[in-house]
Amino acid sequence: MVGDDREFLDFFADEFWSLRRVGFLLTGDWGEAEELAQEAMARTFAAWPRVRGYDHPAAFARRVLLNRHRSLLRRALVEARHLLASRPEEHHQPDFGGDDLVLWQALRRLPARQRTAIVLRYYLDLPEAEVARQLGVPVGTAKSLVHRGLARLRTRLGAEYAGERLTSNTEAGR
Amino acid sequence: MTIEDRVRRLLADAVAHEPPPRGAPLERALRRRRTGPTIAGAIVVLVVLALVVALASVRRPDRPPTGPPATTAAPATTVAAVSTAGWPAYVDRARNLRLRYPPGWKLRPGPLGVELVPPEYASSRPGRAKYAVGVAAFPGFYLSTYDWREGTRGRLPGGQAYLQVVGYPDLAPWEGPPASPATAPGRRFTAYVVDWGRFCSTGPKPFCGAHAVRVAVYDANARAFERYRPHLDAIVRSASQLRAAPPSTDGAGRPACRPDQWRLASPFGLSGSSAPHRIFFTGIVRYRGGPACHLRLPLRMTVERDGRALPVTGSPSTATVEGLLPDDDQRRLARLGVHDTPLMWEFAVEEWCNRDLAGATLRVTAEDGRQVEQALPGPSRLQRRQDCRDRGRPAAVAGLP
Repeated sequence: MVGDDREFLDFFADEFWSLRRVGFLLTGDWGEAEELAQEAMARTFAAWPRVRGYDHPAAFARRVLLNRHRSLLRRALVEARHLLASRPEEHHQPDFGGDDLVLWQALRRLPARQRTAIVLRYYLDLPEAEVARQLGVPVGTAKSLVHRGLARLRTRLGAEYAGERLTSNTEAGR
Repeated sequence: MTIEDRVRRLLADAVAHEPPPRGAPLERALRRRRTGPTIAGAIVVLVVLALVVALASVRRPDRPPTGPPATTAAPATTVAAVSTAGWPAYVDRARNLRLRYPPGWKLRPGPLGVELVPPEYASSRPGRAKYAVGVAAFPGFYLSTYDWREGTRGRLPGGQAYLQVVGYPDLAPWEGPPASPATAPGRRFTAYVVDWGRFCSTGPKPFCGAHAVRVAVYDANARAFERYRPHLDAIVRSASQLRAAPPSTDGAGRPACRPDQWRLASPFGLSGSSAPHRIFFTGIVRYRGGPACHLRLPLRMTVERDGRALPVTGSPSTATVEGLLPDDDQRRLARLGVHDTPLMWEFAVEEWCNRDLAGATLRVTAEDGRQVEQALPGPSRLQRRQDCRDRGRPAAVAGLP
C-alpha cells in the first residue's frame, strides 16, 4: 500500500489539473470543477490497488468525473424545482468577446451529453471510440452527440459557418 | 477555420487562465475519501454503544455514575519545550530538508510525503492514523495554500517565515475558533507551511525557484493532538536547510523591475473560502518583458461604492508582493505544474452576511496608480445563503502577503 500511495501521488500530480480543466469546461465554474476533480481523485484513490494496474488509470478517473457530473446535473434539476432564485453570475468566466463569447455561451447551453462529448473530443482530443467508452454509449451514439452538438454551435455562429460541412463523422479513430 | 478548429481553440482558451485551487487539492481529496468510512464507522459505534447502554441499564438500573462525564479532549495544556537532542533525523536531499522526530516514532511514506507516527498508531495504514505528522517539501510559494485568515505568522529558529493554520473540522465555519482550543471537542487539524526559499531541487521533477515545506497533522484525534503538541512544535522547529537558501522573495542581486515590465491582473476574480462569510479577491503580477529583475510591489485595496470609499474595518488594506520576473510569472509556473507564486496577491473580504458590501467595488491600486477592480456580488447571493449566522458583525478586509 505504501508503494501504491507513492504511485498515486505521481498520478495525482499528473492528472488532477487536467481533470479540473475538463470539469470547468463541463460546468463553467472553477469551484464545481475542483469539487468534481477532487471527488474523482478521492474515488480513484479508494480503488487504486485495482486501478493502478489499468493501461490508462486516467481514463478511470475521468469516467468517475463524468459520472459524478451527470449525477450532479440530476440533483441540480431537482433543486431547481424547489429553488427559484437564479444562479448568481459570480464565477470566474473566460474573458471572451465577440463571436468567441457567442460560441462559449452556446457551448454552455448545449445539452450535457453533447457538451461532454465535445469536450472529450475536442479538448482532450480523444478518438470517437474512446469518447464512446467514456460516455458509456455505442460509438455511433458518440458520433451523433458530437455531430449534433457541432451543428447547434454552427447554427449559433450564423452565416459564417452555415455552409460548412461537418467532418466529425469522418474522423473516427483519428 | 473550421467549426471544429474553432471549438478546439475556444476550449483551450477557456482554461488558459486557470485560477489557483483553494486549499491544497491533494489533501482535500484525501480527506474527502475518509468521510464515507468515518460515517459508516460512527454509525456502527453508535449502534454498539446503544446496545451496551441498553444492556447496562437492564442489568444495573440503580447504579449511580462513578466518574466524570466523558470528554473528547485532554485538559488544556501549554506547549512545553521538548529537546530534540538525540532524536533521529529525516533528510530529504532533493528538497534541501532535514528535521528531527521523536525516538520510537515510525517514519514511513505517506500520501503527502512522509508520515511520522507515534508508536501507538504505528500499525495503522498510511494516511489513516488517528495521529500522524505529514512532512512534505514542494515547489511553490508557502503562502496562499490555506485560508490564511485563520493562521498565524512566525519564524523558525533558522529564520524561515511560516504560516500556521489550525482547524476544527467538526465545528461549523460560523462557530469560529473555540474559546478553549485545548478542550474543544472534535478533531483537530493544523499545518505549518514554511518558506523554504529559492533553490534548485533535484529528483524526478527538478525545479528552480521558490519552495515550501509543509508539516501538518490532519484530522487528528483530539486527545492525541493535545498530547503531542510539544512534539509537533519540536519537529517543526528542528527543520533546517542542508544548504542555505535565500527567502523566496529575495532579490537574488537583480535590478529592480521597471514599470513597463509588469502589469496587474486578476484573471481569477473572486473565490470562496471554507468560511461562508469570507471571499477572496485574488490576482497576480504578469510579466510583460525585459531583462530579469526583482519586483517589490506594495498594493492597496479600498472598498468603494459609487466612487466613494466605504468605512470598512481594515480598509484601505495593504499587501506587498515580492519576487522575480520572469521566474515567478504564473503562466510560466503553471506550465511546470507549480501553482503558487510569490507574485500572487490576495485580499480577504469578510461580510458576515450583513449585505453592507453587496455590490460594492474592490479596487486594488499599485504605487504608480495602476489599478484592477472587482465588483462584489449583489444581495441575491447573500440572501440565498442558508449558513449565515452572524448578522451584525462588522465587515472587514485584509491583505496578503
